[in-house]
Amino acid sequence: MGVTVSGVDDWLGDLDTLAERADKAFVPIMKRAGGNIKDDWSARWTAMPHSHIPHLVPVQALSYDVDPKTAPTYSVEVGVRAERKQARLASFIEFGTLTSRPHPAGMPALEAEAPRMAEFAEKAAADLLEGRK
Amino acid sequence: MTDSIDELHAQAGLALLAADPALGSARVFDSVVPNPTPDINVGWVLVYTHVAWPRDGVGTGLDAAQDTVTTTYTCHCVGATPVAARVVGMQVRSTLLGVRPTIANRLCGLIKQAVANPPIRDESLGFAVFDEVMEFDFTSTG
Repeated sequence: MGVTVSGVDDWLGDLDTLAERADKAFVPIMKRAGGNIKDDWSARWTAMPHSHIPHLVPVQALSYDVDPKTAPTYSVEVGVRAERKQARLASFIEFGTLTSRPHPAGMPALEAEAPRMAEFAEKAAADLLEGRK
Repeated sequence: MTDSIDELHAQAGLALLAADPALGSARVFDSVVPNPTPDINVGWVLVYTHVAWPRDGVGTGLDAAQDTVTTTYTCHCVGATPVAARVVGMQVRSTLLGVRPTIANRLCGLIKQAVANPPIRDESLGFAVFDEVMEFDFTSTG
């Protein structure tokens, strides 16, 4: 009676190269998530009944950045570029002021995207561990 | 109207803040700063509440019913100086953070901080104040 185990060397090889392969798998996911949040955020502001909001902070001012140097933790930052005109008004719209209520769009866009991003990240992680990427 | 679930959620955080002796109901405002404007040297917190029944993910039970409520408190912590605004902010944070609200027939999670911003200058009242905006939220199901 005996037991034959095969594939362990291949799996160890997959684990050894995990760090090198992770960037290629996760950075596109973060970029896509950032783009989706940005688009959703601007769509929510544009669709609001207050027609002046899209003109106060141009939707083109919304942007995102992925920092690929943070592996194994990947992050994307989505928001209004501070150097754009009237960028300061973004926080007044998002969180409100002492005389006007908030018009949240960033957090709802983030919450809508987070489950989708997690699903893609889980699949990418499984592919990495099993040598499919 | 068949129930008051939404309003109970909105009032949960407001009641916690109003019950804090360091703030008190006279310094906790629900969506509107009173007229005449209170003494800025005392500072206050203006709270916008948002109660939502999200459709997907956490919001849907195994029976496909929308049974989860998310409640968001956008707190404008106001003072005459950045330090004063932060002091109000710290009091708000210590009152809300980590508290599990009690609402009849609902299972409530802990109140968590979702957003924190540095104090910024706000002149919408006609004079300059410093406003530190924080968002807290919690979910409940039932």
